[in-house]
Amino acid sequence: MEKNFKQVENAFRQKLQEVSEMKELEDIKVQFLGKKGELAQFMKQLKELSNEKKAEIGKGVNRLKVLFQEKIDLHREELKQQDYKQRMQKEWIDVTTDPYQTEPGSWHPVSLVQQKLEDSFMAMGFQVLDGPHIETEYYNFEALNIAAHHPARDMQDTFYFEDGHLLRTHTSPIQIRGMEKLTPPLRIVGPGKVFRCERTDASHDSCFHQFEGMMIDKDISVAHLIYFMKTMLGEIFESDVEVRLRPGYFPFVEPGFELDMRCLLCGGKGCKFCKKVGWIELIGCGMVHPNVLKAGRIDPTVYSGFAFGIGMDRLAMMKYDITDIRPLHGGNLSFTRCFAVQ
Amino acid sequence: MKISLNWIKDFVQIDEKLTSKELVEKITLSVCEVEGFEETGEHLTQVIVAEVTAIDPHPDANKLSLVSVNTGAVETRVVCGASNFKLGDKVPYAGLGTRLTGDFLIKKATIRGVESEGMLCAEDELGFSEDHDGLMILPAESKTGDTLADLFPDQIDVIMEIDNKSITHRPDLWGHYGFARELGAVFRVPVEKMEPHPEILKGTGDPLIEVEVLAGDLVPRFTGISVDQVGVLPSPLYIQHRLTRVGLRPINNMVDLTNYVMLELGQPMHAFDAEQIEGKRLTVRLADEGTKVMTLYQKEVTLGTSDMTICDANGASVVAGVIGGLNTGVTAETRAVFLEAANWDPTGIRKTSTRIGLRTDACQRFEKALDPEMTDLAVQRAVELMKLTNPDLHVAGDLVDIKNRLYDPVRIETTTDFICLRLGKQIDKDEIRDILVHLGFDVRGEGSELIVDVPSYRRTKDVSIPEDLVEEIGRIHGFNNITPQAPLFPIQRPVFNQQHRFEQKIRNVLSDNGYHEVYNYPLTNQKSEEGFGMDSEGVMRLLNPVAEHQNQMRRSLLPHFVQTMKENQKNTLSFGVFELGRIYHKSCSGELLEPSRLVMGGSEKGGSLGDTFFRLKNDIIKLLSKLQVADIKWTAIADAEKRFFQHNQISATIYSGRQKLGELFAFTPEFMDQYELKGDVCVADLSFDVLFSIEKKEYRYQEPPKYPAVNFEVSLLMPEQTYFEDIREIIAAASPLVTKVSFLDTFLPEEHAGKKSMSVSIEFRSAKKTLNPDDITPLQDKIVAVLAEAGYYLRDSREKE
Ligand SMILES: [Zn+2]
Repeated sequence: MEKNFKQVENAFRQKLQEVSEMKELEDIKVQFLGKKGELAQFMKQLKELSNEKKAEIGKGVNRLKVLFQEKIDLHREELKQQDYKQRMQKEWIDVTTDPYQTEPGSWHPVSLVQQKLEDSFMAMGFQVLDGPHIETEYYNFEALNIAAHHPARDMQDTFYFEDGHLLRTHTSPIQIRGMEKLTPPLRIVGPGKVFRCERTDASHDSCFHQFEGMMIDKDISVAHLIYFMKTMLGEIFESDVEVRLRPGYFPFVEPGFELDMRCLLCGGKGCKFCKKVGWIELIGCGMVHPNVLKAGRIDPTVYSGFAFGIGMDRLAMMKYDITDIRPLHGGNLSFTRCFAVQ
Repeated sequence: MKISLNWIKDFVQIDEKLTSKELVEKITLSVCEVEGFEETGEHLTQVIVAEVTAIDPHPDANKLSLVSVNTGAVETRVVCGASNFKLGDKVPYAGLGTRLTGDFLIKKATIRGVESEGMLCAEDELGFSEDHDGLMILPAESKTGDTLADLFPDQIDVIMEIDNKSITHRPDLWGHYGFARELGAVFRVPVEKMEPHPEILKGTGDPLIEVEVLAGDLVPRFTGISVDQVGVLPSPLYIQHRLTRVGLRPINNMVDLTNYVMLELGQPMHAFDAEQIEGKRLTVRLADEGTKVMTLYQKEVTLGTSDMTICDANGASVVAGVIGGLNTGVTAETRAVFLEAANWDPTGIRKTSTRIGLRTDACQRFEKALDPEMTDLAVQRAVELMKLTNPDLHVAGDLVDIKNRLYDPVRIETTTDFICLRLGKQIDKDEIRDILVHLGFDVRGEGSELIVDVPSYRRTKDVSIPEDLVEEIGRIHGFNNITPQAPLFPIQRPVFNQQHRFEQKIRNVLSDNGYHEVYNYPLTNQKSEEGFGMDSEGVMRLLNPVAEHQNQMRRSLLPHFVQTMKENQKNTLSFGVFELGRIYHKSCSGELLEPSRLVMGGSEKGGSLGDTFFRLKNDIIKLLSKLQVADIKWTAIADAEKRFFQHNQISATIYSGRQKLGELFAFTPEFMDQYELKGDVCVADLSFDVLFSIEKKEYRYQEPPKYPAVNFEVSLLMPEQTYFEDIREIIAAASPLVTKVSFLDTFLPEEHAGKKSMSVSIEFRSAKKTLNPDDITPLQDKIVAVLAEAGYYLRDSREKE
């Protein structure tokens, strides 16, 4: 009997070594541990034996049962791992390619700038307003204190329609419409397209984009205006900016200013971009003219305020190094694709 | 406009320690925009007055000579190419190491074998003029050995280029004197007054010319004087040099002095040849229609009834305020002149100048509304200057001075407190008064009170209200001396611009899906719109277009958008673009409308036009989902509504409920050919306004269904061009237990020519119970029955065919 145990164990070990597939492993399991397997044969012989012998053989069979089960489990695990590996091996792809290639899309650069401005102003409590592109002389000129014979009203600057309407030449009519609608204290901005009757070149286009703003309350002063402009430009350019005011003439403000920002490229030493002056002319602004407040039905003896206008095209051109204003219209993809990270 | 610092210094003392750069910055920050400046004449300190002592021929060159000169210290010899001089002439000598204009350095040079110890200079080389026709011959009385800077000290100057646009509202700044006044205030130093000196204008005998002014309301003032016993000569050198430095070409004393007065005071003048004035009488009046005037530029202009003229007996001789006439102009033979300094209605002058297309220095000034009170001063200054060349001139008769409509006095009453409040800075009362006084305002009032009379040169349009004084104080005190201060604002409930937020969402979704945003011009022309079937109904046409292709407002985004796609196809065939923009038209009731549209376009290399359509459709569905627009339905565009450029089969209308959102379509092959479009192109044209205003489906939590769904798939036979949507509607209407009908696929079975097989999946679900076969079988039967009723039979149920 002893000898037989040894023989069975050896035969098992021999067979197990040759196994390379799960199916073979299952066959071995049946051959040795199955109901009619090798170990079951031993058990059949038990009846004819003495109790003492029974116990001895039973013990031997049990030992083998445990041993075979362990070995088979171990081997099964190995086969599984091997199989996983092989499967993955076959699943090789070239991860450096991009077969589903889809192109990233883009926003128009002026839309990008407008969004940035709107976000900043909304965070500062401003309300964003719109106005019509086709305006009346009243909203575009008269209410803005631009006298009847002012050259700005000439046909050489303003597009007129047959019925007397015109294309707004600035976003400032939004100021008037805003004042009519709201009551002070008020903070409004108005972005949009504006039109000028002029020939186009690298820095002029007959259609461009402005961003208008206005703040009105009791006792608003030039000091407030400077504070506000500094804060706003700091937010737009994401750095501390130095600004200066110089006299500038716009009929709808008094006093009126041109606001310059210290050139961010050269830090004020003078470079090609700032035309060697160290300053960039950026914003027209000023204290709202009393006539304009009156046109907006606001009492200038009680309230004062400031207003400003920024050229969004110019801002976009500065921000994204665009050297010519003309490609902003027309949608050439070689231009628009620059506003998506490819 | 060019401004000379020396000229300003004729009237005001400026601290010599100030650099040109600092001075320019002061002007920029307190007065107006200086576009640039140039320091002139520094090199003249190294150029010496030399006397020609010998002229010998060059041994090797005919056109050159060897000139010996005495420079005061030494005798030296230079090679010279000019020949306009003689022995004893005084000429400018630049020694070795001298740097002339244009950074031209004089070095020892050997010219055709002869060494030259320096150079004799022409006017252009020294910066006096553009003249290069020979050496500059210096006045005989010049002292040998002096520098040219000693001889012409005025030539060492700073010339500033003023941005004309920055002084359109300041008529007082169109001459040097105005700048002197400003700097007087900036530095708080006195400015020399322009006082009237009646003795200069005191004439004897009768005036040579009489004047009559008609249309007086367009001529606030007309001043003139007759002068005889004059001769036309070159102006004094320093005047010639000054005019040259600020960009004018000196001509003769008569022309130069009128220019000089204009550049000094800002008052344009005109000199008539008094002997050429027919009838010895000038009439100032509006022109007759079609009047022709031969101008000084020898070009004839035609005037209308709103143009002002000065006429003699021969008719209109001068276009008033714009340009003088040839017939009565000064010539070399002129012996008597009538000097005119007038003040014209600014608007009239601007209109005349625009109409005849002439922008002269004179009209540029008149249209700014000049001060009428300076015409007599201008005449006085002109006579004074004329005496420099004609000391024996005779003033004939009295000054002609016709005053019609002067500007009303302007008094402003305010307080120093108001000014400080507006500026946001406490400025001393005395400083405020001091600034105003220096600017020429007459100031009275006690304590904070200010009673300010505005001087004539600031009241024609510039200063009239307290806010104007805020600007005066602010700019002279320095806006940059104001400390920024945070405004105090109450917290208010934020009001968002929902439309802009909606636009932002659209941009995000579309750019996320690979579309590029484009802007096209809102201006177009009728031809381009006709290409898309638009007649001229409701169009907004421009009166004054810049270009023929941009003479009206667009009524559709499509024409430019298709053009954009075509242009891009030249470089790449596979792309997506979109545009959000307004279109413009007038409604039948005359109302102006600016609806917003959204167009999207997809271009593919070519292969399957259907695929391109479905790709766009899928992107639109994603967009609508993000915009929370629900209940979407797609239907083929009915033939009656199809426009000629839309593809017969590939074109759909998109609805949300009953509201039309827009269309998605391909173009006809003919249109593709006509517009040179390639590959597969589809576009969607959607109404932004409907998308924005339509009721949105809000996000809501829903309990998961309690009872399971049962799916039933059928394959139906139908004519090839049957729409799934029609099938879906039939099935959906069959029972409320149908919760979903999905399209699976179609194919063309060989055994059924001309028909297609469509497989759809139907989902049944009850909210009340689990459906069992007893419920489902009758449902299935019913659906098969209603389909059969509509003519759609199951593919495998042959017996029903
Ligand atoms: Zn710079």
